[in-house]
Amino acid sequence: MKVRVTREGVFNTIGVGLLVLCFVVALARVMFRAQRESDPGLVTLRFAHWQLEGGVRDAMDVLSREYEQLRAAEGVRVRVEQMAVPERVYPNWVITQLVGGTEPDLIQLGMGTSDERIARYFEPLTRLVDEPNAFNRGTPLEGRRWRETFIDGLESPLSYNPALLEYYGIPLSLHTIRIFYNVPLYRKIAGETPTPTDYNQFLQLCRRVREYGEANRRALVPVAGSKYNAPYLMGALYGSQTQRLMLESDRAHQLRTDDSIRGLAYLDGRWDFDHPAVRSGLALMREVAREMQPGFLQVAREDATVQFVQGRSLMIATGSWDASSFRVQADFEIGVFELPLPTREHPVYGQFVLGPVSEAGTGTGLTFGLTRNSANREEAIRFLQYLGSLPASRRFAEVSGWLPAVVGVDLPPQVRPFQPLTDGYPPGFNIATPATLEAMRAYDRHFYLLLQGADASAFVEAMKRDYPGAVLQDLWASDRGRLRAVQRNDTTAAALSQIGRASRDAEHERKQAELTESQFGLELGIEQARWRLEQLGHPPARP
Amino acid sequence: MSRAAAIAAPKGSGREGSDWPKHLIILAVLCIELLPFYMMLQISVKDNHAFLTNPWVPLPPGEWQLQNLVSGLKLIGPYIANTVFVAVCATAGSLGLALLGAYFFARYDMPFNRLLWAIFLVLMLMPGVANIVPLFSLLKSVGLLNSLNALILLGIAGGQVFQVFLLRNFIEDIPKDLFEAAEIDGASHFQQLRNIVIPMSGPIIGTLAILAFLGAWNDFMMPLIVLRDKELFTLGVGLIYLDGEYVKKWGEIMAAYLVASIPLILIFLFTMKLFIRGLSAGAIKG
Amino acid sequence: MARIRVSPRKALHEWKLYLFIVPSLAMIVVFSYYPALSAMFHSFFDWTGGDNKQFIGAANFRRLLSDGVLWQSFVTIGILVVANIFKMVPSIALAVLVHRVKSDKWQYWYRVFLVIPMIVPGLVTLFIWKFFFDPTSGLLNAVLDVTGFKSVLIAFDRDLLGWGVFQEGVPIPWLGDPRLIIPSLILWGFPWIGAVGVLIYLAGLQSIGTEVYEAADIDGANALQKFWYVEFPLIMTQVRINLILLVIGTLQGFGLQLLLLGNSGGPGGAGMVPGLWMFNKAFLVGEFGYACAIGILLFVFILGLTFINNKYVRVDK
Repeated sequence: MKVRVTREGVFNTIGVGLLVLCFVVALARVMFRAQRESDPGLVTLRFAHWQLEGGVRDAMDVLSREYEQLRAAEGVRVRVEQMAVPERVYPNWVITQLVGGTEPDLIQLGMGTSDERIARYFEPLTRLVDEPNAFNRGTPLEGRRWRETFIDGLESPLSYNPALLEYYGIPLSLHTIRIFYNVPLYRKIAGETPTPTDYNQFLQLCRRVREYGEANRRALVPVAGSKYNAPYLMGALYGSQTQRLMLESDRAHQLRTDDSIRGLAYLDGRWDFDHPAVRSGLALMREVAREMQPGFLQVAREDATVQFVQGRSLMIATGSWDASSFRVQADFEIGVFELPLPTREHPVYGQFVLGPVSEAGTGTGLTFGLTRNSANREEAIRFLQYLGSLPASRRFAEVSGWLPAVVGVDLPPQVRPFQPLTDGYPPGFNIATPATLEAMRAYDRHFYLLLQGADASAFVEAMKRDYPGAVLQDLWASDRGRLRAVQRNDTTAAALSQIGRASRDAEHERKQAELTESQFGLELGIEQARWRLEQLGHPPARP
Repeated sequence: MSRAAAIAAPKGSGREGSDWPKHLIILAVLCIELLPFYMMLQISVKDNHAFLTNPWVPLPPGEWQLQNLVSGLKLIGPYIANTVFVAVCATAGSLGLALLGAYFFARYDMPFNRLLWAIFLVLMLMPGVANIVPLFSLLKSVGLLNSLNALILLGIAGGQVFQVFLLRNFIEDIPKDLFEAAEIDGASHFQQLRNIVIPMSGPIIGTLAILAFLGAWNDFMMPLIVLRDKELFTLGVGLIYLDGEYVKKWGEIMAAYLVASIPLILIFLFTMKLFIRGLSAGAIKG
Repeated sequence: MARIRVSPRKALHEWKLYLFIVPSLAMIVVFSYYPALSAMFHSFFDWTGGDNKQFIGAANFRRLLSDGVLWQSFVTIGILVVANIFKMVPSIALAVLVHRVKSDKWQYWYRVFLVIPMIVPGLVTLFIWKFFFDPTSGLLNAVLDVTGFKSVLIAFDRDLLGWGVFQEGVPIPWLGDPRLIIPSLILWGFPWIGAVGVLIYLAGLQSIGTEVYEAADIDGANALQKFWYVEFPLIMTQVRINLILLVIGTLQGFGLQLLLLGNSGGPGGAGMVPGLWMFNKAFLVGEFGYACAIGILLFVFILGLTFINNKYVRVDK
């Protein structure tokens, strides 16, 4: 009996000892961290994003370290901390950080950053982007206004916010959609045939893949599909059919699609789910869905990736952002070609096609905004300028394998195939990626119906039922958001007017003029949207 | 002492008939129950290729990829340290406060006793679901966001009701004479607490400690909302982030899960008897 | 043992004793009562989380009434509660089985093995289950294929349900199809043994004296009758307590759904439960005031259920 007690005692002591050890280690870490936080000479910059794809985190790390060294040489101690948050929790994370007041200095815009939140928590960069970027000194871009050094002129919606009439984001990258394929496998299947350039050739290739698979007793699927990847291919094909429709609905002649335009066009009766172009697009989506593995709708993004890198599929459709992840995981050479869309000569689908789709309107991504609460505003701005400069862009492209957003970067070879193709016509509506909440929810709920049954009727019926209501909800939500943005600026406008009355300061006068103009523009936009809705017989704002 | 008697189960109580059907069922159920554990163990030593070709059967020891464990440790180690910190502080703090409170309720019937007790009791049945939002706001106003202290405080507060409730029942059972003897000897309330209550309530305190520790260990909701910096992440948040990665190396991930379980394994190994004893005792009382 | 009655006058002398309760009380007031009251207060506001609040009276509550997603989520949670109540049965059954095992040594080891799943942190179990649900490389589909149970499901689907989810050659999308979400949530955690529960029931069962069993034997009771008339009544208290905690826990819980299905309750929002909707409204959309209103609704609902339970189902101590 005595021995047992002792053994238990020893065990207990060891257990407790380990626990104490862990505790001491943890305490030490916490204290060290607290000490570092309060170090007055050290400036800590934090930036957050959700791009966990291979290469990006490394590239941001490299850029952070180079920036730290640059500043160290100038006598300033800076520590840059990267915060990579998984996509799934990113929107929650952003809002808890913003509301809680613990947000990092730079945040990637696009998820969780509604117009209202941007207006409230982010700082406009308009003045900043009108000046040249100091980090571009010594390059061909020296002396040029910063916003002119970007491929899109900073006009993408994440960079220039049309509702708020200010620049808010600096993009670091650009993406295009391509079909990635397994080069050695392709050679086995198709030999020296060049890669497909249109839809017919694509279908032929798929058929050859199946034949090859059957002949060699391999389970081979032409295209690896997933809930995430399929929309890119299907959406682009659908878009090829709605090119004309898009132009007809584009009353402002922007040559660019906009979700509220599409929504208003639907309410206006310009298109519905029985429109021949829409039906043709849906049929096209169904046809290409057959080339993906059964049940692809429920397959997650990672699983499709696994299928592709394991050689069970010849192709996969996704954006250039996945290129480095694929290269890391696959042990074969990966090739790239453009999405094979039907041409005007296609017997069935050609009638709706205007022509090849231009990627000139491709928006930029990996856009960072500056938070108002930033404790180290000057340093954060400087870091942002560094990130958006030519030398840093080159490093970024090298390490991440992503396209840079700055003009004139000498692209590394693996990045070149992704360059946007600018010749062509504007793309049509892309039903597969609506960006408005309720419409997306309606689409998500009913999408599986599209692929079942004999044709798209079930899907069409369901959407006819739910889509109008969803669009209305979204338009009202956008109205609410814009209204809140205006209300928010009202206080500033009033304050500025008071200040202006007290002191005739040129700076304040300019600010006041700009604010008045932007308020006016915003209110005009609100009234226009409401007027349109009323015209169409709907209440202009949420009752 | 009813407790000891209860543990030594009376023989022949309803145990007729052949035993083996029972054993079969129990073993089958246990096997299924332990399946996640088994999967975790056998995948953690595989690399991705081995896993994809052969997910179910364990590898022979010669092919084990032990470096998975090392990378798992690197992935999870800091989170475990933080979680230990929070769990230990929260457990110690909450038990400390609960002991004080339970002593108050168990020994003396002071004025307002019933009101105060009602305040505690009501909380037992009050759903806390609506609290998340205002808690976030509260933490923000006192500037405790993005700190482990917030989690510790929440852990302490969260455990109070249950712990005070159970401890009060226990302390009520301690014979009065012990207390009276101590009072005669001039012991203050505090000393009585320390010298009489704590030693006698060993098992239940142990059980409560383990439950509190487990609670803090498994919590992910508040840490997810409250913490921003990766260095502060507790295990819950760390695992969620791990699950959010695009390129999933299952071997390493399972190894990380295994490493995440090790501290609990250790604790359980060393305190198993205590826990089972405490649960039995607690169950009888409550 | 009776507590020592302290008169108000003596209490003044012994005021220091009150200090014993102050820290504990302070904690629960600050972290449990204040948030609850704050939630009630803020549910009448249009609140985006900061200092910006706007009083809108009962507008949030009016919005609750017309919120289709919310009511659908109550239906979902109702189904889950009923399912969870049924899931209590395996724990009780296992406890009884283990209790009736003749050998003490086996009993001890069974207890040990029961505790082992508790070692795995809850999140790890959840993520491993998520992995089980994976259509292509998950355990569940593999088992169904191998045992041929999948054909049963396919036939069931074709003849009875007409859903089209179970198809030949297609991996079953457990977490991908709206109609499979609720079955997946119910299936989760198979075989539904809660280690703590079993141990508590076991402890309760052990307090049954041999005489009772002998008496039952004399009356010629078989195994099932022994359970129903002897064992079950005596662990009734634990069962009741577990039941209440389970119902309350399920009603307000949403962590499982959040981690398995994401912010919006998964495909088609089929897994949306009230707690998750509240979380969504607060920490995704940023409408904190409305989220508080949802929270208060849930709170009142659960409180109401508890009152009913207390009135009609007395809990013996």
